[in-house]
Amino acid sequence: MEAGIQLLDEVQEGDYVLVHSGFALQVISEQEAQNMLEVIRELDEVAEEVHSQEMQKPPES
Amino acid sequence: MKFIQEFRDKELVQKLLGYIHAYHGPDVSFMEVCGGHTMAIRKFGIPSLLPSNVHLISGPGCPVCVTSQKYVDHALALSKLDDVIIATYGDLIRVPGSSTTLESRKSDGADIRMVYSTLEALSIARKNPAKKVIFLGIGFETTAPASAAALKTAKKENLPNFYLLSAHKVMPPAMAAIVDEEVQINGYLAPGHVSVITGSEIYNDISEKYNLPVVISGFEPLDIIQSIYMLLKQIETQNSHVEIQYKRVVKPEGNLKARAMLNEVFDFRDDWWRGLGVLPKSGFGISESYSKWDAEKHFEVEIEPTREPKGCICGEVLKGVKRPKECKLFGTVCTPANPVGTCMVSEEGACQASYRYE
Repeated sequence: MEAGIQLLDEVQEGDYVLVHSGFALQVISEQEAQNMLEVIRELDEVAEEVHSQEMQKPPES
Repeated sequence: MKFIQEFRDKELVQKLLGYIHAYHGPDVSFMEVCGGHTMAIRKFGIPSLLPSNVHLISGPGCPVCVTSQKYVDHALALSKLDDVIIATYGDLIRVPGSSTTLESRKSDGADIRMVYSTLEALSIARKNPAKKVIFLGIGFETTAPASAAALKTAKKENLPNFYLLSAHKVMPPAMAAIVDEEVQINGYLAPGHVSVITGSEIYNDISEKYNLPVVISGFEPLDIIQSIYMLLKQIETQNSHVEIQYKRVVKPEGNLKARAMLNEVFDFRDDWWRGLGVLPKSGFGISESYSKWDAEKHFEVEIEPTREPKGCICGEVLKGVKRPKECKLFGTVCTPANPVGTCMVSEEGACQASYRYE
């Protein structure tokens, strides 16, 4: 598959890019992708805390 | 990392769904305004995973769907000129105009070519110097840069036989219009690929003015489910703002190079949207300095009076006030093989997504 790189300044061989209508629109950041997955993995404690607080609330009428 | 399987992780999806199902507040509806989301949400069966108080609705995010019939009729009229080649993305070719389609003109002998990108259209122009190549530019901020890049190339090469017929549109005015028209939504699942170009700031006004949560989402199941979770969190904490879930490609400032190209090549103009009518500054017209390559200015053609298909509720579907299955034509008279309206023609249309996956 071919893609134009006219819309990007910094793109290197080996990068993953997002391609739309035949143009690379952005380089995909592996770091941000890992961060996102990490946020969900770590959600456990934080969310469970919120969840248990919610459970203690009296039911809304 | 291959950037696909990681975002279909069953365990993580289920974890997030657990928290989403812990939402016990009043019913909420989130609207997506991106054809890619429409498809992904139906294809992955996301609505069936959500609790009964969390609803997803499709808005005016399918480029072909919101494009006016007049534009298709304009393209059809251009296809009748001598020595003209029409170059178009594939999804426009079957869209019914008032009396015919580009596909049927093609089978009648008109030179209409489906291209994958504007680069191909430019190449057709270079190879056919005796012909005039008109590229049909439709789509939002995602595809408009491809058209802008093509016009910049045409200018640089002084290519005399390449033209753009622009129906490019910008998303924020339509998102504001939906709320102004009092369509009941509680948050936007904002378009991922539009935002790759524009960045996140274009939604700040909408979020502030209407006190509406906005989350820019990716397209894999985990992306969409995390975005729904983030929207619910904003609602629960009563803190509406713009968040980026799709950070691996969306930067707050967007793609600056592409934005600069859009500024150079296009000017905002009022434009017509199916379902919403004319919205101020919602379209991209070609700027004066590129008028030499503007098909609207270069060719004078008579466009037939618009006749919209009878009984089709595509406009109401795009506005989010009716579901595809509420249409009397759905699945009987109107199918992907024999579409009546644009919402069924396009793969990204809510009617076709509903027909194929529900």
